Amino acid sequence: MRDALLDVKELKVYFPVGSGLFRRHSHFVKAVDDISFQVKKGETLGIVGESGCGKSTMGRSILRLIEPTSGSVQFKGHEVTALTKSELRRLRRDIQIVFQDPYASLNPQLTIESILGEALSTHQIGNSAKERKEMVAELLQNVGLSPRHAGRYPHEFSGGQRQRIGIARAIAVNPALIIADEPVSALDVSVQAQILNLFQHLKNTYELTYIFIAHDLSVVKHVSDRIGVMYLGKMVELAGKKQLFQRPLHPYTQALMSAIPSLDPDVKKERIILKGDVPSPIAPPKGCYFHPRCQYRMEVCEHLKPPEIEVEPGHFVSCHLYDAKATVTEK
Amino acid sequence: MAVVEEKELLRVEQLCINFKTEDGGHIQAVKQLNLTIKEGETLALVGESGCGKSVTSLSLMRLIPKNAGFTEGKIMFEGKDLNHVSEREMRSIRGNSMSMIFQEPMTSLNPVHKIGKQIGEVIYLHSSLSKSEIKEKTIEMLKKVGIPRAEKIMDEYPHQLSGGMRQRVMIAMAMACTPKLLIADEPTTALDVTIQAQILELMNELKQDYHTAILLITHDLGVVAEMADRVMVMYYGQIVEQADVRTLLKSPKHPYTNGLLKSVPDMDDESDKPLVPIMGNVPNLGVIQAGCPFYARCPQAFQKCHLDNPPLFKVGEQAVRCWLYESQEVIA
Repeated sequence: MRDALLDVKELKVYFPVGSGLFRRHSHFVKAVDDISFQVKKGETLGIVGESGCGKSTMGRSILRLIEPTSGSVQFKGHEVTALTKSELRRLRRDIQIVFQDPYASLNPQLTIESILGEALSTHQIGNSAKERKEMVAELLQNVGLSPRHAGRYPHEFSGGQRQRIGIARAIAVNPALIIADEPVSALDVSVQAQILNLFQHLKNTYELTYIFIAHDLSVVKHVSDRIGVMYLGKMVELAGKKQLFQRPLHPYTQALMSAIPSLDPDVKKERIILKGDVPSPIAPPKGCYFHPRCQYRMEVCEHLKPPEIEVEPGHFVSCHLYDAKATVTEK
Repeated sequence: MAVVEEKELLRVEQLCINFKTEDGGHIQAVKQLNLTIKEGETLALVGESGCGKSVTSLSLMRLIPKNAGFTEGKIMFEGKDLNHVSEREMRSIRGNSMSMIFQEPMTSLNPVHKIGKQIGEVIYLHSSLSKSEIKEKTIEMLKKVGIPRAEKIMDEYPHQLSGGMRQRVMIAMAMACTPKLLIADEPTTALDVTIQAQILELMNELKQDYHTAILLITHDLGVVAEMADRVMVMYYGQIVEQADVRTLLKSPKHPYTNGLLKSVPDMDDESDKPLVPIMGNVPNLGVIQAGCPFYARCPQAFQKCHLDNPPLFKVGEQAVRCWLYESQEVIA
């Protein structure tokens, strides 16, 4: 993919656990374990997975809010992991993040105008305070709030409105890429739909590219062009939305899809109930991480990590079931 | 298939729950609520945050502190009015014939006691079994809820278990005395979807085995479709629509129910059409307003909605609190 806006290669984020003699770390939590993907300009890449699968860590490590252990992240052709502190600040103007909890991510002591104005002045946008004030008013309007809200404090707003402010702060600096980390999971259903529509609307207005991280497959499906499914720090499947939903290949993706209750009471789903819980990432199982819960488990799965296989163009899966189709062998 | 008419287990009439406010006044969190549950039935109470669904369930168990609020109305459970039984009698009902599971199992389990002790305590309080029989029964319950190596889990503490396992322990505890009614307040909201599927399946199995009625409180319409026989939709402390699950999901009558259903991205929908959200925000209970509480957000509102709060109208087998159905018979 030559027109990739973001190119992530073999990204790893390991956290040390406990410390042995002379602070030698004997164990690591492999929160993000060898993940590669690309994001094209203008597309929305959805990342879905259950709690603890590493999806948020991955999002943050792209911005180096959490330092990657190894691997490469290229944004517009520049290596992010090699940037200096000041270059990093410039990068964070181009990549913005929207967090899950709008209650926690806004400073309660600042008015909305100062919160948004701060984002502008930090990145030297706007020449005067007056100009910034006008920009803030415009921003508020663009996210569906009123300019007269500018003088209020975060606690005066509802959850949905606060998330709108979080989004306004992200788009204030005209980013190219927005990483949205569970932006709607703290919201009520009726408000969630408003925010999802807002994301769609802003994408068109500002020509944005999104990495949309969520645990809710139906939300991810609604907003994404391509979807990556994560399990225990690994990207187990990555495909276009249609490909993924019409033909989910990885047994975990299949189980995840079948687990979502249907709104139609007449549809009785063929449900795949996974046994047990997600294993601890400190001591992941040998071989394929999913094998203890997998209904198609084979002997090879217990010993060998599955390679990433491109089963059809643009549809990647890491599973031994598709070994025969492998054109590339073990990575 | 011949339908046997089930006995009525719980009847709530004109339930009002009021909370005192700092300035000496009070706000009404639940307003004149009526509901009935038959034996073995699952009734879902659906609504968004602050609609009064959780306090309703707490009031059934008489768990709302007296100094925080006061409730009015009748709660008839197995023929007794729970608002008039002694605290002692209430204690023997709780956990025995009526029990409850909560959203966050970590905060509802005692962190300093072992799992075995916590489940055993329920059995000890409500039966006259010997120590060894209690232990046997505890292990049996843990196995029943699908906990592997039950004997070992007995000696572990809640923090050693995963979220799904903790919720299983909560369910084992709630089902230990085979209650007639299980109140489940957002039982799967804190869990991952694959774990949610496990827990929902478990609840359905237990319901079959023990013929337990379930009052399911949730905001998730998918869970409702999966579990419920009948559904009541709550908004601003009131029931706004009531129907059997099929009717409600297939032909919702109240604009709010309709809006909720349209707000959820549909997994089976291939088109990328934008969602139709409900405008505005969930209203604050403290603000007293005339007219229908949904008026400000309703796409179909007209003059009358602004002036009077509608009663429940009977529309076919449904009950709908909306002036659009004014020509129909009034229920309450």
